[in-house]
Amino acid sequence: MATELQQLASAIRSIKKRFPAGGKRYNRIVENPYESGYLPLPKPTQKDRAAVRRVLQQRAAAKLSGR
Amino acid sequence: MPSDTRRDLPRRAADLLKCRRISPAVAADVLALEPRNAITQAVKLWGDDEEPFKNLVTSPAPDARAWRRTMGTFLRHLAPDLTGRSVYRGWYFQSRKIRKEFLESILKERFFETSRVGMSASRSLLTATSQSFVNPFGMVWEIQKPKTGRDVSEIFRRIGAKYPEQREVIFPKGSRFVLAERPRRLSLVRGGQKITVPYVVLEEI
Repeated sequence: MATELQQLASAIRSIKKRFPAGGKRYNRIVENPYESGYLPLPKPTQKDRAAVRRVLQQRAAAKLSGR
Repeated sequence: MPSDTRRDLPRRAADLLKCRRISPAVAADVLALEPRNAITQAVKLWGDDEEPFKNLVTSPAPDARAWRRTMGTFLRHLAPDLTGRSVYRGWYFQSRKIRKEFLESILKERFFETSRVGMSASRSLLTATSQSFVNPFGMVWEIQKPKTGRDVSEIFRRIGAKYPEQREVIFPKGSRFVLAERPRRLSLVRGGQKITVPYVVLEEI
């Protein structure tokens, strides 16, 4: 933990130097890798697919019972 | 209060990386007392939502990795917001083609997982659909029944971050979402002109 904090403190010091405050707004520069199209989305695992099915079934059941 | 619980309460900023399920209000108190602490400054970079932040989220530099590692731990240790209130996220794509490719993958699998250190969202649809967050190639997400989102608005406010309520709910890395409904269209006004963007409803798993 102490090492992690030391690394962070050192990082914060150099980040401040390299990127002075008052930069442009984040969204105007658009550096989100999804938005820039260079970060592929993670593929769902079998467990994820089962969870997707479960949620969709629950929503369909709730919709039917709400009618 | 049982003594075990009392012992687990963070008293210093460094404790935020050790204790678990910390209430954001407690974390805000602790960080506000130590404005010069590296953790406070790391969190403030996110709440300021400006250039250092966007570089840190994506950069492969060792400094950025150190920042992401700490932010990841900090977010995971905060207690999630379990109110179940929907949150919104605006997207700002560079082109219609990139948006189409991104959306196609979600439509195909009906699934999305955050693979970055965290994904910010807003409690307010008005904020999420503002010009800063949605452009003509953008889209808007409504995330229903959030489970893992951490409400950091109080923290941002107490440490003097510039935008405490622009992106006040953060979903940590690994949060998973289901595409709950077919995307609809949402009309917005930009500079007097009407733009129409996809409106996507997701539910957190």
